[in-house]
Amino acid sequence: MNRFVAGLVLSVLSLGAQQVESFEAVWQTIADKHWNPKQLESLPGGGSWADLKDSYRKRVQAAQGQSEVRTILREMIGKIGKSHYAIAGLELKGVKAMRQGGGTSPGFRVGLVEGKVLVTGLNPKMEMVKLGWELVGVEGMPVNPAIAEIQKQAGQTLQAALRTHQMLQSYIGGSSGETVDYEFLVGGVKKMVSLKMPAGDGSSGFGFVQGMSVGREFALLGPAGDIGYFRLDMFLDVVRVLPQFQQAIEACKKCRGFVIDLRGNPGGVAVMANAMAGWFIKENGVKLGTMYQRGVDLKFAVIPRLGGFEGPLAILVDGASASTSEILAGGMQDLKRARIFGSRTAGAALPSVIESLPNGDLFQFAVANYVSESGQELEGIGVKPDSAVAHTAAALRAGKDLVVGAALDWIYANPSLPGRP
Amino acid sequence: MRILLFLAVLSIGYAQKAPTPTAEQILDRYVEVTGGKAAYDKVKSVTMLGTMEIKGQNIRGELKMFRQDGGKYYTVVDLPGIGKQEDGSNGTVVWDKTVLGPRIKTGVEKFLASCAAGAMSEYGRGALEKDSCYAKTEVLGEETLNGKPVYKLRMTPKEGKPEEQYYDKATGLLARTKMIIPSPMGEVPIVAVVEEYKTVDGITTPSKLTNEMGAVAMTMTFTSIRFNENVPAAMFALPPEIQALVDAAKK
Repeated sequence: MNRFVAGLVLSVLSLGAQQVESFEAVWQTIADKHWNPKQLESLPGGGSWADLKDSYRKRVQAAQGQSEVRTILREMIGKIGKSHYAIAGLELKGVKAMRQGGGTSPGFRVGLVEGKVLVTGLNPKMEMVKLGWELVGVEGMPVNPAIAEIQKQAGQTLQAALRTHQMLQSYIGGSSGETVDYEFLVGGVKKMVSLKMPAGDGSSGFGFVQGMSVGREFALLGPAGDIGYFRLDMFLDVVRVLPQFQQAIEACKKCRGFVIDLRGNPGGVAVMANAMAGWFIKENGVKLGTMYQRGVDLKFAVIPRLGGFEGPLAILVDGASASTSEILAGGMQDLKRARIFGSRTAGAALPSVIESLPNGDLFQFAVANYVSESGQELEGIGVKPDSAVAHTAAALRAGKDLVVGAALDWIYANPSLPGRP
Repeated sequence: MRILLFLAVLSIGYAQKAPTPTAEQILDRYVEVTGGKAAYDKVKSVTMLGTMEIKGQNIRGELKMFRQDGGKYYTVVDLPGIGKQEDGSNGTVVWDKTVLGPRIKTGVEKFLASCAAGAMSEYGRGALEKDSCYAKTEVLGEETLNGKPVYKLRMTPKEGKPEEQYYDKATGLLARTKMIIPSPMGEVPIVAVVEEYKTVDGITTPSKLTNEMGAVAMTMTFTSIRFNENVPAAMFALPPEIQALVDAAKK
């Protein structure tokens, strides 16, 4: 019994220490890494970040359990008045029970449409799966319980659409050469499809982001095949993607318009946005926005390319378009060089990181601020499309991508854009 | 004992009164301790091969630098996942070719790049060619850097923002440079820390440097430094994309 009591006391003491350590970690991290220390000297509600330390530390010390600590920490970081600061409870980790496949795409993409996981996109050579099919299971694991859990947590999770998308792509992904079994519901009938994951395409990662296949596709769309379409799933593999993008532009000299599809693109190497924008900008001195870090303000300058495309440009986005996608879409929208179609982006344009706290909770914090050319902070707000369009189940089942369709309609109706830089 | 203490105090007082050298003397000493002007005068070209690493981010690539009399230079860094980032001059056109695209440098960028193209590279630049690159050099005082006393110099280029150079008081070697580099992304403050020197053919040159830019630190390590190697003329020729920009500008 004594041993049990001693163990219990030790556990409680240990737990208490972890809560205080977690408080210290959160307070100090923000003090050290907030991109603009001056903002911490004068918080929106009055006082400074330093002023908060003692009072919140005492509250954490007196807290009865982790849930209360979480509430206190959320209140404290809320004083900064910015998004991208979050304390996520342990329950988020529960979603990890969901299947986590590899980084190789099976050749189709899925999204949450009208509460169901539907096939929203297909790679050109994919013939075994069709648009609009409902995905109900992967490798014997049903999708609905995981979706229900994600949706339940959406209210307390920043960029819920982005997280949902990432989880779904992981859910359907696999490793190169692996065969994965998918269960679809087609017209009320279950249909099993086994797909062998394609061999790695040799995409090069960057830094610690490795082993990802970077999906991209160039096609000529429209009845006359006179509209260029370039889909990019992630801003990586610079060495191959940018030359391919250049080839797409060069193959599209006589196109009536060009579409860049960034739906589901979570970002990556930021300067790829500038590089791609250079093919649509004619003047020097143009920038997409500015990234403010501690001690360094970086302008997202665009260097005009010779032989660039001067026709109408449409950029497609959704709630899972984040970071570099938002920099490109938001910047080109500000410059009035592109019309944006789809749904509001994730509002995750800031570089932010997520770390684990001593008490096991997750702590997300931003390390820089991004302001678009018009002075708009995209963080927590995202890029609002000029034309709000979303998938519908009926349209997908009919093989139609309404967002692409809206962009094509606009290009055919608008042979030129006013105010192009 | 009292006499010893008195002598010690006297010597401290004497040391404190030692005059601070002029900027010119500090720069001349740097040239002297790294090989001497006569040795530098013999250098017509420099080839430096090594690596560049972005600290803590698992990014490391090959780095090659070639410099030749006449303001010619070519630098290429090949970073995994990013590809070749190039920077060069044929003595007339100063350019770079990065992820952002090909570009011709003008104005302050061109001036500073040309100044850095000399045999001493950008590390300690001005020591040899201060008259051509700098309008003013002055000593700001003495400081302690990593426990070592250093002279702090402010070098004001004829174009661009002043930079600060820190020279080790004991060795005369350059320890650190704080500068603001103009770039398409804006003015980027950089702290260049010399971590190691290597002596080749009688010339002592920085062989390991870390450039700190905000939260990012890039370390360049040169495993091979060669002087007066025969560098093919094609090394400094303009790449086709740059030549196209030159041609387009003429139209």
